[in-house]
Amino acid sequence: MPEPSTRVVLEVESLTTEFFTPAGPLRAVDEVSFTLQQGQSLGLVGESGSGKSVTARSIMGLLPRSNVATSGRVVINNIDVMSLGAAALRRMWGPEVAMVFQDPLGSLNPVMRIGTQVAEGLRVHLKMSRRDARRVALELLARVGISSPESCLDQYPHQLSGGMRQRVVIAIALACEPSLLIADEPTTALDVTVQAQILDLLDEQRAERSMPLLLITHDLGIVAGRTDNVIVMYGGQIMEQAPTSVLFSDMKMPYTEDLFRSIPRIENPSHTRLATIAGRPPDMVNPPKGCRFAPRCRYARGRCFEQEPELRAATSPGHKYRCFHPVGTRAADEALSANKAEGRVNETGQLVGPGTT
Amino acid sequence: MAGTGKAHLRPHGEALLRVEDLVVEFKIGATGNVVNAVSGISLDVLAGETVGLVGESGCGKSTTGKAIMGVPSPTSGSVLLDAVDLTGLSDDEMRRIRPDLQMIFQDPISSLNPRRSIGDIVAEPLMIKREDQVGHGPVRGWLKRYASRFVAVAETVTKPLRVLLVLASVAFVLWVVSEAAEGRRFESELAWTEVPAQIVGFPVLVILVAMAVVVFAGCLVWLALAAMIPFEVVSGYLAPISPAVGLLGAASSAAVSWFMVYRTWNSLGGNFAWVVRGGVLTVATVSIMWLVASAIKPSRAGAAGVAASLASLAYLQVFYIAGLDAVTKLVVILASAALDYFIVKLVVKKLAMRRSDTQRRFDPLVREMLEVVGMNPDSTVGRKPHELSGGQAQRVSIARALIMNPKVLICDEPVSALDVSVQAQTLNLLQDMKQRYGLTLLFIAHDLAVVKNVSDRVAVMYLGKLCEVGAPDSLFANPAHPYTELLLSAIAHPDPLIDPSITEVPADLPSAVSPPSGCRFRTRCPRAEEHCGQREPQMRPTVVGQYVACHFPLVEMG
Amino acid sequence: MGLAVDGTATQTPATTARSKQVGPVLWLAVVYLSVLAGAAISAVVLPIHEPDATFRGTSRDGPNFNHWFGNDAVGHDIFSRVIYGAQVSLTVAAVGALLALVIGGGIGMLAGYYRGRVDAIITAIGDATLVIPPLLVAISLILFLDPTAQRRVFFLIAVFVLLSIAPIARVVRASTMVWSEREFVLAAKTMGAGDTRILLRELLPNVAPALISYSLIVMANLIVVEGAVAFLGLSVPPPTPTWGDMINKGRTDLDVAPHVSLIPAAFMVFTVVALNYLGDRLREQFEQRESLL
Repeated sequence: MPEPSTRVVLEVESLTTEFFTPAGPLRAVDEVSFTLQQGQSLGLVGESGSGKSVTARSIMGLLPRSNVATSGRVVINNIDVMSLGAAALRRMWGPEVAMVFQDPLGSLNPVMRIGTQVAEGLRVHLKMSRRDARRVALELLARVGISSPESCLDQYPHQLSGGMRQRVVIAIALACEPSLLIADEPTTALDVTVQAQILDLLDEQRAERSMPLLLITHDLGIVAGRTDNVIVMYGGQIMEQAPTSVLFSDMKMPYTEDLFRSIPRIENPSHTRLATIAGRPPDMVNPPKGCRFAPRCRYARGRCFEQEPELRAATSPGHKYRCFHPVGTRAADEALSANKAEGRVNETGQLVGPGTT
Repeated sequence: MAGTGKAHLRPHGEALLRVEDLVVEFKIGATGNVVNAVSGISLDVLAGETVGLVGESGCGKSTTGKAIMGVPSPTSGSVLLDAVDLTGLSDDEMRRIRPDLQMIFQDPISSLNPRRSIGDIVAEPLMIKREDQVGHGPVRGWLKRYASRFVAVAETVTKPLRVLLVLASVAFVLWVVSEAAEGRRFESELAWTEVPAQIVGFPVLVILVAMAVVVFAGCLVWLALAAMIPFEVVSGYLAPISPAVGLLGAASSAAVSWFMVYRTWNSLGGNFAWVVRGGVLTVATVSIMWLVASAIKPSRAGAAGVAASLASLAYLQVFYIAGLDAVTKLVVILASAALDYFIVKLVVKKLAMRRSDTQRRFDPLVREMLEVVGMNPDSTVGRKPHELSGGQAQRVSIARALIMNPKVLICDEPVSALDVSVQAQTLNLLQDMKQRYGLTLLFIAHDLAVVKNVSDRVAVMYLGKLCEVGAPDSLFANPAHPYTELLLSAIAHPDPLIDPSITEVPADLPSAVSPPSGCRFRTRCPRAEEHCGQREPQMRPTVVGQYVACHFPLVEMG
Repeated sequence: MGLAVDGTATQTPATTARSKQVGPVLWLAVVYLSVLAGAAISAVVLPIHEPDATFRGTSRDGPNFNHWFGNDAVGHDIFSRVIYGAQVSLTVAAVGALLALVIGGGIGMLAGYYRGRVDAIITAIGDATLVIPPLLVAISLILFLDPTAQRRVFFLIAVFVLLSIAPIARVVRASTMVWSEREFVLAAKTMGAGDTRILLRELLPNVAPALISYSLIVMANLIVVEGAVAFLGLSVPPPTPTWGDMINKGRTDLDVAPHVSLIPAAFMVFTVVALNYLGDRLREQFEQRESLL
């Protein structure tokens, strides 16, 4: 794989998105900043409610127009996305940035043939003739690994399997040679074997076209072997950000550590008791004061409930985290023993509370 | 893969749940194609054991779970729960067994009725059981028999009639429009009433009237059948009313109805009489039927009779008012409205009392169960499902399933729709419940790591057949079947040092309508040879105590 | 904090208030309908003129102090005739819609739940009924069967019910089919619930909101159909006033005294619009939100 060049394709600065709900303003994304360089892949990891999908849609400009306020800067290929009107955004989708969604069946029009759908972008954005578009569509389908592209062109979505549909969706996304590809949980609805194939495919295309890939998922396993950098989100904020290998070997955030430990591993013997994260995700209409994760954190002390920690750099380059008691430091160990002494945490390190098992 | 065979089953009588040669087939649409969802699976689960059933989508694992539960029953095969074959039971007998065999589902929010409160939902199995104990009247049996007979007859009749009806309507419309075009006006004084005697008009009139009669008669019958249902339900609720009161009510309702028939028979002129008579006769018939039913089963008589008498009272009011003149009418309407209001209030209060009796009886059980699954009963009991998160909703499902103290719990992908951290909580919860209640679990999932974590024994499925069965530690460390190996290699490990790509890219999943001959996995198997397409592999033991159905397994055979 | 923080700690956004703003238009519709219905029921005791009383010298008068809506060609007071006319319209429409709701709803639910042959038959009968143009059939049946004048109202109701069952049954059938696919119905079956119980306790509460709001729309439709039938002179005959009849009688004087036709027509329009709006808002109100975004 050639060395990714350092040209920045996507720049996100202090992105904040608020929804105005009957219960009050809901800050789904809170001051998120990152960059993506050519050929790089970035994994955006978080559970439901963490704001990862909303971040992706804010970057694309896909949010509803009413009751939503977005602020900050999003620049794709030197185009300022936030300043674009609806028509300009439509022109951008396809040639500049494309998105692959979770449910392949929902992403395809059930009454249109595959060929027509793949060629649609080509004809609208690149103004190709019908014959040319069909030819290019055939090539695209072959490139995404569909075994008999000619017959596939004339089929309808319901005749294909889930894996093939997702390949078609990827083909549609890649049709206009976008500068940036965003994949929002592309494999959640697919089987394990198909999942691996689709992720391989995305990786392949990224390398071939030197196109940056933003991969959004809740599965730490997916980002582990396949992304250059990882961002972990919680409560709308970036909690930790690092090159992938660094993140897994040197986690700083208690949340990342907890998340990692609660995943069942095939290497572990059966009936291993899983470590859990106590409590529930925060209410984004009334987020807790101080650190968003503090109510569920075993290292949390007084300061954590009062003051919001800043995103600060760690020793390895590119590694940032947001915590007063990062894992593995003296501060963390002291906080943990203090909590144990107070009875907030039991001997095995789990938070104690009503109904904890 | 594609195994059949029962080598992996333990000796008869040992297992709590034993499934043999389970076959489930679905017909799809008009083409008549048959989907072979499950083709000859055999499984057993010992008491207190957790058996994990794992496979990709389309392998038939969910279908297996539902077939064991009997929703719907399998096409063939036997399901033995404590030596009782569930497939051979009648509906009633099956209903009695149900508390022993419960299920939890994949989508937590969708498995709860959005319009009911959590307390109601968790108490539901207890209420069903109680309703069962009170018993169903004989009317239900009649309903089923007569309904199916009616349906059969109606089916033969409606097909040609439908065409006839459409033709008649079109002809009729054309005729009316042409008549109007000719310049005749729509006034009743005209000689339109002579028209039916004409040759052209008479057949059309007959068809028109026949059409109306058929539709109306059909409606009447449905109305009568439908009217029985609320009676059934209401009486279920109010069973403890004294039978004497009920019989009195039913008798009075019958009397009132016949009185109405008598009174209105001659007072309504014209062709509309049959409409009214029909309605009145319906109510009368229904009342008589209930009278008889109540006599046969006195415990239901009470409420049924009360319900019938209330219905006839309403009817009486309506028709009495209809015959009055203006001012008296208004006064009587207001008076009847007041009377009805009081009656309704009384009935509702009675119902509420019964209901709160039930609730009082079940409330502590419900609250205890909610606490056991880790929810705060005070704040949860009144909530609606959409106010809960996925993890909480799944806990409610578990509470609902466990409140009957089942012997076997089938879990159909219970954590697939949940976040990782919530998944861990739920899995731990299931483990705790298992220990606390001595449950036996059949855990169906597609995530190998989850299945390994939870199970004592694992069975791998592919396209309706079993691949291999064994203890999770040895099975996943040394898989005997190529499919298991494929699944293991595709796992996304949260470890950046492991290269995730699969080296081979197997073909897509074959269709379940025409699966491959012999071993079903052979189209995607790197070790497949010609022999695999000719003979279906059978389950055989390996040296390490696993069982595999493969002609060229990865491990030495025993 | 432990696992059972559910009730005690943070609330999810989904527990926000569900009530929509009750706008002024909704209030207007409700008040209008209530006043109209109230006036119609208590018409006898209201201090209004007799509907069939003719007042000398008031022929074709516009609205004035003595007769708030003016008078028609014969000299009747239009205001009281509108109120008495509402009796017929509202009765026929409401009773018709109610019966159609009960019968159509029941049939629709049975069809949607059992499917198979039951569904095939019910849909067949329903489709046949849908082919029939309601207005024409109502007219011709009245002409052929010629019910006595006093019973015309019942007759109309019966015909309308027959013809409204099919559309309602269709809507309910579709809704039932969707809801019966949901897992909670499967869960109820696995708990041993009989079909009756599932239909009434699981499906009906979910189907009912759509059903009720659709019935209001059916009711609006019936008002128009009754008006058309009355316009043609086939509804309750004079001297009972009906809106359609009033419109018909004022037809010839549209240039001189438009209010004679237009006022009852306006009332019909208002009533239909109010019912439609009410039906829509009720449907919105009942919609459950599964998540916030």
